[in-house]
Amino acid sequence: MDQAAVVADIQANLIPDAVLIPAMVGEVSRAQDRGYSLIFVPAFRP
Amino acid sequence: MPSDQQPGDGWSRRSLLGRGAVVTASAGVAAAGVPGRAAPPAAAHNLPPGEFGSPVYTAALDADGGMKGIFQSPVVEATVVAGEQLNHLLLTQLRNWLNGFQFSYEMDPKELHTISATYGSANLFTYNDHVWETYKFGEKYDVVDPATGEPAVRNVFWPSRFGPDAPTDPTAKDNVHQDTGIEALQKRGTVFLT
Repeated sequence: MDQAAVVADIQANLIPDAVLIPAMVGEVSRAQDRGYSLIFVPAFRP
Repeated sequence: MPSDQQPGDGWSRRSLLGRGAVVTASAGVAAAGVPGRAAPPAAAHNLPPGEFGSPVYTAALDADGGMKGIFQSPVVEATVVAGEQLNHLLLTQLRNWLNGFQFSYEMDPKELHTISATYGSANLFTYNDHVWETYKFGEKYDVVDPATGEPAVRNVFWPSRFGPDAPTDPTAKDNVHQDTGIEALQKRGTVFLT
């Protein structure tokens, strides 16, 4: 299975209503530009 | 990004995702008895205009007023077992954010706008059961399904915890407002990006 096939397979099998975007870091900037506050969740082990 | 790569050389988050997926897929192939091999160099895979976004996401970005939060995490390694469920800190914080503003500050739920912005291994939130099973992400990222005690072969974060008939009364046991399943959070308006 080559890379393109894997990427296509994953993109075709997202959860319902998931929204594909180009780059998450860019979307955070777009959201903050529109008044969204950022809540960052790091790695966590209880 | 490799040291010999410069911004604009064609690398993208999605190409890196592809590299990771290929490595995982190779491991799966090897496990099935076919010799695995190193992942080949990844090609650029930038999404062209028109192949991303959604009207719901655009509406969330353009929402006027209210409270707005974008929840970001790069790691799936932020989980807590809750009975037969596995919660992620991002999902519990989302629930708490919504409940705090809705019930303590008495805001209209329509005025609460939330976006989940996962990347890296936390992007596994947005892959369906087929992907989890095919590429053995539970095994790769040490995500154990509390219902089986085995590496997850389904997206344990997606299903509603209490089902479609859960009570809406916030004082009732296992009500919709305590549900940390992505399915339930989507019904409360959260947009999940990937």
